[in-house]
Amino acid sequence: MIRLVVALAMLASAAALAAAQSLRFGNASHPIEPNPSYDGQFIFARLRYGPPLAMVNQRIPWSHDYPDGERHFMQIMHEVTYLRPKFLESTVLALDDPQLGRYPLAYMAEPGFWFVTEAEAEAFRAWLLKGGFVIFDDFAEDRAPGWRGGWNAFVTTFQRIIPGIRFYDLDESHPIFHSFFEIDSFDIVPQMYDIGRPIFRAAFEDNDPSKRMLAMVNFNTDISEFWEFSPSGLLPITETNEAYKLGVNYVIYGMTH
Amino acid sequence: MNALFQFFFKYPSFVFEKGEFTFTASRTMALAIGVAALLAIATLVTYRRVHGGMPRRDRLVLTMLRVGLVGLLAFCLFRPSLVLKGTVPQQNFLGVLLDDSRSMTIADRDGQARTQFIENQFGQPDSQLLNALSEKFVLRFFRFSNVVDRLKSPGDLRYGGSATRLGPALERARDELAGLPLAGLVLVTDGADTSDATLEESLASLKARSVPVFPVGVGRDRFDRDIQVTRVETPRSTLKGTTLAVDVVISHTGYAGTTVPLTVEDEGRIAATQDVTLPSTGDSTTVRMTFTAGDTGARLFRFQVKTQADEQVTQNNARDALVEVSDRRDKILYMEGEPRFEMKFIRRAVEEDQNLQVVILQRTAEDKYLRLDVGSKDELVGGFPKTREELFAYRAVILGSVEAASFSPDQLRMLADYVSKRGGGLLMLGGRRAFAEGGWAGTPVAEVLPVDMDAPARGSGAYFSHVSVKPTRDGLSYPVTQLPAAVKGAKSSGSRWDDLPALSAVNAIRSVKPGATKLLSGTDDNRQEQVVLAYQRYGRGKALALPVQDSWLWRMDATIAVEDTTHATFWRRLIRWLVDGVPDQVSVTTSERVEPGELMKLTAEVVDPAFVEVNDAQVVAHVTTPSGKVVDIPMEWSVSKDGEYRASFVPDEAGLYEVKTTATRTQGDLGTSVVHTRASAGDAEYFDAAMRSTLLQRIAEDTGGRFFTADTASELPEAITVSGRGVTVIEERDLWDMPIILMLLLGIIGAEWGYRRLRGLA
Repeated sequence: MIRLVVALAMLASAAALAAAQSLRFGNASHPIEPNPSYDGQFIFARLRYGPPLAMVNQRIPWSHDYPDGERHFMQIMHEVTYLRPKFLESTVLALDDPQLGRYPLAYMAEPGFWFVTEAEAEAFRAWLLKGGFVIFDDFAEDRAPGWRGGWNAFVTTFQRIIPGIRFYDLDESHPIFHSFFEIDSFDIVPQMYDIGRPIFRAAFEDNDPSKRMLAMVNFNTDISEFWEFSPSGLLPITETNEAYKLGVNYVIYGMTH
Repeated sequence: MNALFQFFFKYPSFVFEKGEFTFTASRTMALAIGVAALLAIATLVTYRRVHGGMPRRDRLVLTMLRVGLVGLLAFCLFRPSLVLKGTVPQQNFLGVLLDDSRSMTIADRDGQARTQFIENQFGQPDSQLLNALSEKFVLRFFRFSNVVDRLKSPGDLRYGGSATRLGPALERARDELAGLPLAGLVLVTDGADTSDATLEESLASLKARSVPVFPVGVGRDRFDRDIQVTRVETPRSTLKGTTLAVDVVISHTGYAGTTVPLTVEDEGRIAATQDVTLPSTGDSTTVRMTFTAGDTGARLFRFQVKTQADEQVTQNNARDALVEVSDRRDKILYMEGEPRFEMKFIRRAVEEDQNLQVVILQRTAEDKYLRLDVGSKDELVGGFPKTREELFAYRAVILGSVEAASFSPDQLRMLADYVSKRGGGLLMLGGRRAFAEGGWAGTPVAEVLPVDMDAPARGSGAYFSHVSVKPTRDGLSYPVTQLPAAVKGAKSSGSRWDDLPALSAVNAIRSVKPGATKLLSGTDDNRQEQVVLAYQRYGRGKALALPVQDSWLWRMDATIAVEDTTHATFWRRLIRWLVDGVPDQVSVTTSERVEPGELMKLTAEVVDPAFVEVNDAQVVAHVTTPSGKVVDIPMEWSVSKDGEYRASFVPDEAGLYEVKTTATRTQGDLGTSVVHTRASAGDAEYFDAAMRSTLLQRIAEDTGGRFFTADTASELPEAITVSGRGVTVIEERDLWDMPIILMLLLGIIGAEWGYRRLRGLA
């Protein structure tokens, strides 16, 4: 009898944990909403790799935190800045979508899993060199030798787009951490994963850090996770605040540099 | 025609113009003529009674002829005469002014130079005209060109004058001969006056003193075959690397339909070349030459049309222009009211331009600003400038999507003054907070802008439209809207616009103000016209409007290649144009060129940092001569105008002069200006060098003289004689012996005889 109770208790605990996990990581499928037409107003542009889909869920890496992550973030942008973005809509674009030219600032989740065709590589390279700015988020160290989804896979793919591209670790003094909020220490930056600390890296034109930043990389952390769950109370407000501050700074920096 | 008149009427026409007609028969003679006339009438009456079977018509014709004959004889018997005031020989002086300028060497008189006329008519002891004039007048010779001198002998003329100034020449001769009995002034010239001054004053003075001028126009009043670079308009100064669009006016005679190359040389290096097809003879064509001012300093650009083999004047195929090309960095203030990509891409477009520093004041949130590319840590730390000194330090201001309400009334007034008084360039970009949507209508800045603002659309009906952009007719020839080829070898300019992606607008701007120029225009989704780029001069400065919100699509659109520089080129040119010609605190103007030995005038305008005119400054022009000697010339306040200082100097050596002007006052330095000028013999004499008969005719008419050409100059002595000026005597000139009288008599007799033969009455 005691064993049964213990077993039931263990099952209930497991179910509760599973339910919490499900809530937190969004295993539920979500339809991809149609992209609104361009009207000059800022809109969050999420990059898609792989084929177009009608529904996305946690198994589709690029769609992680869609659509709540970006919409919560845009609502914050709307509240704290004069950007006045769309916050009830967002857009999803492939790397070689001609419409991407109308959105010079884009976001990609789980770039460790991305892969590109030749056409996508060429189109995305042109977008970057003409003035595009991309934010990579939500990926971590390689879990095991040969594991896709970590840094090495990301760099390998990026180098297909811009051969020879290098990434530079940034410290707190970089202007991107001061473009709106003053982020003077990375100690307060939240960590979503269980290994190490977040690392902020960037790629620059001609591999010259004094030139224009092409890509900002949130490595070993996942700030959009905080954006997604900010209304739920599942994550600490202080950490969520810091995640938003990073996002706001990235957007302001990307729109001015 | 005059010769024919004189053949029939014995005297030239001007004698009849000057003389008074009268009959000079004595009273007895008149009585006798009267009696004879009565007898003639009685005879005619008798004729009338004696029919002799003659038809009535024949009698009428014969009677008329006979009466005409008798009447003509009676007219002669009354001794018709002209009464004139003729000059007394050798009692009057006559000034003879001979043109000593270079244009007199042009050979357009049947292959002979214009100088040949002077040599033939005045240069030889047995010259016909000289002798004829000498018999009647005491002659005083003058030569004139850029200077006027007494001339001992016409043989001393050298025809080296680099300018022709008719007004000073006439005044000098008038003054030298003042107090003497003066019959008039003879002006032997081609009339190609090269001065800017009008002749009104000189002519009025001569008229008031009853001094008639008798111009003798030498040369043809239109060349058979000639091409001329008539006018070139360049800015006096520009930034290094600026693309200049210079209008070159070319005129010609005799080369209609011919295609000739027009080149621009920068100190000997060809900067641009363009083929020009010449229009109908006598018409001129304007060619817009586009080239880049690539090297710093005082650059002498030469605009030249290739000389044709059979041209009569080759020296007028080129014009020079001196342009100050500076390598300074002009500061532009760009205020953006919300984060948006337009600012990022404008910033990128100009970041490699070493001559432009676009300082950005980006509002990111309420009372929160991001300052980019500032010159010092304190620059714009208080937000948008609140004082004139701070704002007027910038040479241009760009207003992005920022509402008028974010500026104080003083700042709005200051922005308007920035254009009108400081002479700065102002550009307003399209955006949700710009133009009427930003509450700018009715503000002082709206007055400055070149476009009309309609009431803003509100609520869900807020205006948004895609706009396909096309250059207007003006835009096709402006450098700012002349697009380079997208990639090397591709098409450029007009057709390039067709390939650019449409932009979008949230401000419905339909029209420009009177006097403003529309350079780019578009069609919106409702097929209505949308102004895309317009400008106007306002006070001392200029204002531009670009009411679209995403010109960055010309860079980011998927159809634009990575190496396409259209967006960057457009913005660099636009901002360079915005700062072009913006005055400094010390601005000096002077002639681009004078003749060595001629007075060079300097005018400086001096203002304080708030651009208020300063009258108590110490202003000194440090003039460096071509040989390196430095001369300090104090400049004095002109009194007639606030902030204006004047001085002059005489450049006695040929070459380039640097004029560095400094202005100071007790509170400190006001600024320095460096301009260059040159002293060199110009080719002005060869431009518009055809004989100007209209001008010479006007000189004659305004002064009571008469205009002659080289072909009619033989009548000159007679014309002066009967002009009635100087010491004169009354002359009677008989008219009864005019050949026309004899011809009429013979004609009437012959007609009567012929009529009788015809009618069988003889």
